[in-house]
Amino acid sequence: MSDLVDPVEMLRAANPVDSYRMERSTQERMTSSILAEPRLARRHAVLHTWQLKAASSAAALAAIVTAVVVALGGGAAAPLSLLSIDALQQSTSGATHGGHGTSPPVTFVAGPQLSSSSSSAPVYSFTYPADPTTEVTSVATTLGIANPRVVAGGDNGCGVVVGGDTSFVYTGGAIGTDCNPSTEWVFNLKLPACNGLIKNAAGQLVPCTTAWGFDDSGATNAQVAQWSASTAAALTPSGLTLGSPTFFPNVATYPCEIDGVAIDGCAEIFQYTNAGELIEASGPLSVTGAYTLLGDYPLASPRDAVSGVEFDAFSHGSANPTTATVVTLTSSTLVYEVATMTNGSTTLVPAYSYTGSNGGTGYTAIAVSRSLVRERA
Amino acid sequence: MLIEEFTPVVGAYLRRRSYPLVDADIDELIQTVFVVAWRRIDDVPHGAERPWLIGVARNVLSNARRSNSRRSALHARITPNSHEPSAEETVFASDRLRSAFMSLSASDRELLLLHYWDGLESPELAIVLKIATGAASTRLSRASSRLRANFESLGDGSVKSDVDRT
Repeated sequence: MSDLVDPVEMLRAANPVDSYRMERSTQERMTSSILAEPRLARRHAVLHTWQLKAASSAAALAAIVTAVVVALGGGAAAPLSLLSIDALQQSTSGATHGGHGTSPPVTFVAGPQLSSSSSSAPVYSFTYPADPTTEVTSVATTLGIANPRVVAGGDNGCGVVVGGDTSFVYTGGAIGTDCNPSTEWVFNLKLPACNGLIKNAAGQLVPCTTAWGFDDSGATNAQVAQWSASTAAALTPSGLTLGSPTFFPNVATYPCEIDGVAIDGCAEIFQYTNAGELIEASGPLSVTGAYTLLGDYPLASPRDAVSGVEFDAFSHGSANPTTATVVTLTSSTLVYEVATMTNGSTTLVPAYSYTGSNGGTGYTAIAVSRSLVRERA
Repeated sequence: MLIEEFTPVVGAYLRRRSYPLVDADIDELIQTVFVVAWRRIDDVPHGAERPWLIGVARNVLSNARRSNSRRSALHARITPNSHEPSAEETVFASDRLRSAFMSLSASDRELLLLHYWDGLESPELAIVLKIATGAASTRLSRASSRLRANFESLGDGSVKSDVDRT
């Protein structure tokens, strides 16, 4: 990459429209016309997505810090702090429930298979590194990048890029709106010229007949596992372990776990050519210090927690579905959700990930007893 | 009010995609967006109005481009002619950037423009594209990487001339 010109900055600068201004009289006519239109009946008042909560919190000017301590009955247990959640970095809600493009009201009911037993699980607090340069450089070295060096200008116009002669490692997965803190590293192989653009006979630059990227899919899962296993282990952040990998053609995905429980949205992913060359990879950055135990929190039973399941309730565009849907939840798995708390800290919160009788997955609810959780309204 | 506050946002989004439509055409599309918003005002998420409205605008523009009904004149003006450059291609002064950008997938191009032109961050991208926040962030990261890689694959020879032209 040239040190003189950053294409993403050029793209930003190429924005053809700084702002748009409608004539006042036109806007007034438009407003009158719009207000004459009938409104739709409100659908389901409590259905909001985790994504919306995240976006709302990002737009908020200030967070309200709650410092309430709740003493549990019995006297023996240490007081547990109220988990005052500002936003969940939830990654699965709405992903696989088949509701895309439509948004009927959904009612979740607990199937007889769901357990009514209560248990407990640890809650952890942690901090992402403010400056991930050292971490990214370490990842680059582990991935065998020759001559790694920090390149000015990171991913999304911020963050860190460590580039070598043939590949790069970038920061990504930022939680905040200012690209900070980053939560993961991303590795990309530099492309050979003919996989990007090439000059045709007329001297014009055109995409190569081989489109960008690689479409190798001939490696076996055993090969991909063999190629990736040691690298995945070497890149696992302290305090985490990796679960058994799952495979997609030429891709291995290792879920992150803590105490044997998967962290939603956290994984190390490796993609290879048929010859075993690493093309693309990503994984979580190490946190600063360690995962700090906040306490062993009582959990609601999977059956009782169903009332907290959330669903992507609105759709974009003009679709106006009216058919109500009932989803029976038939099984649950304990996972950790990454949550931003109202005091700015980041926490791993136990949650149930449900599967529905409709085959849908990723219906999620906080598992911690509701008396110990406060979600941002 | 929603209309007054977010007309510039919706208008700018539509103009960036429909350049060089005249203002009257943009205004017509804006009105369609806000009619949808008004009808569903209870669904507009507080604090996330901008991505929600851009999501509506995205669908309105898509529907208008597909439509062959009564608004045929507008339809004709916003339907890309396969022999003409797209709005995105038109505004790039740099041949190298244009080529690098246009060789990306359509989804990569849209993601990059929503971020670098419309200023949407990952949580907002997630709402517009109906994907998870983490997925939006990762996809943005990878699209940026691909743009850089494509750009780089052109070699440094054209950088000087691009800079001179801009």
